Amino acid sequence: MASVSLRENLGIREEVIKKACSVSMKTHKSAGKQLYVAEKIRNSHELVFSFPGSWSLSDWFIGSSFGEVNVDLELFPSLKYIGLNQIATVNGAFLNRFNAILDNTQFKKEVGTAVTDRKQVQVVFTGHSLGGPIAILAAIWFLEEYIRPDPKKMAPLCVTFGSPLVGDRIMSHALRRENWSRYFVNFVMRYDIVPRMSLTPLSSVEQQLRQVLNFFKARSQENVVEPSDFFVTVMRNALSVVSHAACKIMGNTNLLLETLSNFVELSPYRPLGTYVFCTGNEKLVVIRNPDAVLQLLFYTSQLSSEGDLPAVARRSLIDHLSYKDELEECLKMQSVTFLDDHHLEALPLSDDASATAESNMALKDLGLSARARLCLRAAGQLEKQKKSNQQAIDKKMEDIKNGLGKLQGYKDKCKHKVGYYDAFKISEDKEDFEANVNRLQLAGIWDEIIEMLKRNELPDEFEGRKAWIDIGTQYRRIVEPLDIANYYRHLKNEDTGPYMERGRPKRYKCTQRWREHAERMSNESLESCFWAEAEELCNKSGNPSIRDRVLQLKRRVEEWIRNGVLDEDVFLNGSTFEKLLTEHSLKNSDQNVVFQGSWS
Amino acid sequence: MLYCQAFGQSSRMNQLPIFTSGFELANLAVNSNLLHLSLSAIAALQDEVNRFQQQQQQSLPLGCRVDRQSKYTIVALVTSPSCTIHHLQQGGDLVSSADLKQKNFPLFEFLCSKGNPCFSILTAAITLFYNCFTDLSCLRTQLVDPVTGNLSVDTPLIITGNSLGGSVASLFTLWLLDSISPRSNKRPFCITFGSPLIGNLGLQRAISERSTWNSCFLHVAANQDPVPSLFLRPHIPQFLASTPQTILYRPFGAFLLCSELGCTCVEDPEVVVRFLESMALESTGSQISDEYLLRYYAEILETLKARLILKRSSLLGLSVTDSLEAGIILQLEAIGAKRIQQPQHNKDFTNLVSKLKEREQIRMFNKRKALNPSRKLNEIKIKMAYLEWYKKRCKAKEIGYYDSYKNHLSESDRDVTKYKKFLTNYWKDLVEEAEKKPQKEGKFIQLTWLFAGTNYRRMVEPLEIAEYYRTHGNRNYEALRSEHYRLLEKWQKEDADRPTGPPSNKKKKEVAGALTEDSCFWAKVEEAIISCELLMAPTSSALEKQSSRECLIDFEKYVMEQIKNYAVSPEIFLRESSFMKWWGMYQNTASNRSLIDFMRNSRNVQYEKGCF
Repeated sequence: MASVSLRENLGIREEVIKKACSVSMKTHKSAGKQLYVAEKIRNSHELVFSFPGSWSLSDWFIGSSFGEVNVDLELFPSLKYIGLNQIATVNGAFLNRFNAILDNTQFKKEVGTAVTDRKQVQVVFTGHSLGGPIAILAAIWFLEEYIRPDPKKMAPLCVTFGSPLVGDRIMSHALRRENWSRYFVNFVMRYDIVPRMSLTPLSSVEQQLRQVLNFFKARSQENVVEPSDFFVTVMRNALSVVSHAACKIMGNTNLLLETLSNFVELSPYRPLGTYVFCTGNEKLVVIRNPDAVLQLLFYTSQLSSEGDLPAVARRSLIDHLSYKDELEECLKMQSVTFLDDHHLEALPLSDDASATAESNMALKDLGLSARARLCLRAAGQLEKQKKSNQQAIDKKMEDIKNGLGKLQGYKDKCKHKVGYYDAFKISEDKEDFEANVNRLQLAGIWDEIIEMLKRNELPDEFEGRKAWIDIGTQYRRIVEPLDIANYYRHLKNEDTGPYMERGRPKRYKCTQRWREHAERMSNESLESCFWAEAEELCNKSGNPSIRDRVLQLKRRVEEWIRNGVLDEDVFLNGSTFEKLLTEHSLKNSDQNVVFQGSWS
Repeated sequence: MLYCQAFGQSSRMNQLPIFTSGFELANLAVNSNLLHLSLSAIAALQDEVNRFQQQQQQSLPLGCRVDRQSKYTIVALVTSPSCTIHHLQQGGDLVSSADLKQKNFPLFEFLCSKGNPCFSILTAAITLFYNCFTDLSCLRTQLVDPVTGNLSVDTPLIITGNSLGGSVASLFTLWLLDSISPRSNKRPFCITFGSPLIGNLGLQRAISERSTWNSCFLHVAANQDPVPSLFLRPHIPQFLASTPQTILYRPFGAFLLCSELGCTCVEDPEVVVRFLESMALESTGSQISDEYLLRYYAEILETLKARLILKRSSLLGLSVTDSLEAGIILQLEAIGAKRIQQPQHNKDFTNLVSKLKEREQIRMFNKRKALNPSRKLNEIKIKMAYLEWYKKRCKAKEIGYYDSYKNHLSESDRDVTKYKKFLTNYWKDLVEEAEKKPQKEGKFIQLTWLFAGTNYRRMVEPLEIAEYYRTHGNRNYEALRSEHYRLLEKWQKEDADRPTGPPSNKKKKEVAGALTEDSCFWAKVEEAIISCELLMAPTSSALEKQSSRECLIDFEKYVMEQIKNYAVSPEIFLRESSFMKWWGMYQNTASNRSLIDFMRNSRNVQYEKGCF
């Protein structure tokens, strides 16, 4: 737990943090009048967009229990688990508020001007309390809009103070995969109740929540509010979420967990980005592991004794309002502890172990019990496990390349006959048989990768790695035709249904989505499975009405060939596709001559 | 066996840092409202039963009430206080499933399977269940829809009871679980408070054999309650003489173990026993009334719930750095196993911790091992691809893979033995495992595996047969056929389970590449050849000739049926095949007109194209 400066570790200057904090507190004053405030930092190149909070209930949640909705993929195309096609969910009330800003204000235009400014301007999104989630959504929007098309552009920053949680696990996963997670920094006071509140079904505590929001609105510490019950409710719900999550990260094998989960309402929301916890005595603890942050959200607020309840409950409200003063002190002191995965894994289990070490003092200041420390260890350990799984998978890349090389050789050889699709479908020769063995071996490796993705056993970054996206595409292009050939050779379409609807293995769907996402394609990238469509059209043989569809397919095939993603061998004499074209008299007279000339 | 395996790997296992999440699970359970609601339902019913008893001056053996709340449906079962003590004192021994069957109460016979043929239940519990059978049957009809086999209540169903009432709740839940269709995804959840152990190892196995059943039970046991650990060791004098494994009580389901200090949740029966033992050291052991215990559970759970958000101070020593060990010590602290931590018990404590650690490691190791069965299936597919290639090549040689393998002349024939062995070992194990499981559980093996298994049988069993008849003089393969082939065939037939009409066009088209459906086809051919030889041999007796002729006529008929159904591979007509050899010997004696017509006119050519 080395003491590096905050600036070095987070990549943000202290002045920016201070400025962001003061601007976001100030912005509350314009609540009700403006939805955002833009302010340039003097003598610097940052432009700060700050979002005011709101103390009205409907801005905190809408709908039932947790009020989550699917994100709009048009607006946030990255917020998904790509391979498995799972879409992130986000708090619906926050999303509405952000959409209102995007649609009804000058925000979009103002950001656009800043980006095109010749002086490199760094855009900083910030907000305190409910301003936080809006800043987060704005920053994600900015990343999608400007950085994804052009990664060389100046990345934005998002700094929040006492922000509630915005989205679910997939949202955090997606930001880590895109390597955007580092642009989000969330400051949380040790007892601040707001970030924890997202783990409670707010619909069940409306009355109490209204009182709490009124307290925040008045921002007066004399305001009478009895927060103990609310604090206990929030902590209980948080405990359920973190206990459930801890069972998972510890690799619990007890099926009872599933039975219980069916009986308990668990919040979908999870932290994202970097968290900086303020211990309350001028120390800061920086942590990035999202599983560990979730655990800390509960454990840092745990009470030492029942007698502490009234004081801590009250503090849980006051803390939400005291970021500015606390941070000022913290930044002056520069006593910062960084908890990276390798620290977590080896966390001392009790305070006394090395009480002298400054870093351990910080943990003590956060009030972490032995059980809390075990949970953090497990979170660190899980991440390490995921990394080592990834290494194991990376080692298989060589095997995949070898297998693909052999199949490419097979493909080239078959160009002298009917093309490898049909050669494989007939399977007459030893080469065809060997190709089949290769196909099965590769399927084994890929199925294993897909299984690991399903079980969340690989690091979040895995799906964003170019080497894997590329080899996935290559694999799909070379091998999927063989799977299709195998499918139609055994006439599986007759009892199971068309390949594309019923028979297509996940390993191809998944790798296809990787590429579509990486290259930001608007259309499906179906070049590897055009044979399936050709087969389905062949099965409708004798039906002249499908001529149009055959023609369309032919045009698409020609385009794919022009783009270099499909080989010309599909037109070879005697191939399934060539027969289809002939049947519908769509064959170009010159086609074969040209292609045959090119390799004989 | 399990132990040996695990120990062999122990050095590797120790490298895996693992955690125990018993606390987290217990948090979730205590924090949910389920325990509280269940206890309230029991208490309310108990009051009702007591009032009834005072008014009527008679005791009910068992009271039950269905409480339909907005979120859950709670079924509570309680025994009358006098009844419980009476029952536990009288019926503290086990009755075996065989005895139950003999006494005409085979209701729980469904728990028996081939791998686990019998079990025993606490006499007190099953007697009570038997005495109240009419009421319980009535209750069951309210809860399960007999047509769909689904639970007929709209909200999640909780079955609960305390002490012996909890034991009846467990038995009743088992009965419900058996009544529910395995396809239904809604299952009852049984929560007991302070119930005695009610069965032996057989019962524990029966429940854990069914993948989902074990997780339907949560037994709450507090450290001041003597009942849960009552039958842990054979305290009762008559047991002291001999205690064979079958009459030892064993836990099943998950246990929420608690003291006023904290709680933990464990599932591994071995660990449950150890924890109950440590807790038993603390309990007073005296007989306490059910009503007192009920209040005790209510209080303790209330306290625990209130304390969930409090930090627990711990005596965890500085020397503990291992996560698993720390987790285990914290759990022992939480369940109030104080005595064992005192200095004079130091050695016991260390032993206990290392035992518990070992259990967790074994569990984790087994979990990792069981993780990916489909990887193996892929290996199987590759081996099968090799055999397919072999078959293809033999066909090109006009001999067919059956006869090529039987002749065993070339290198490739010998390679095949390798693949065959691998595949057979794999399927034998798989079938053996599947067969041990209870009938309803997933219809033995999943469909994908059944397809693969059928494919395997049709491809590999002919090789087995070839090997068998290669030795001259061997007869009657089918009588000695390996069990796993027989079962695979049986399951496949049960799964197909529809009347076979005329062969579809698809089947006809595919016949050239298909495998012969009857994997014993070649054994029948071999028997026909032997019959033929007997028929022609001058040394054969008239009786032998007569029976051979009958066999051959049956065989002719059989072959023709197979052909009509497109159920045999056209490879049987290859020039060098045993089938053609038989036909060569027999054709002049043949009597089946259709077969003669088919063979003489070489209709097999059309057959192969699917247009015979």
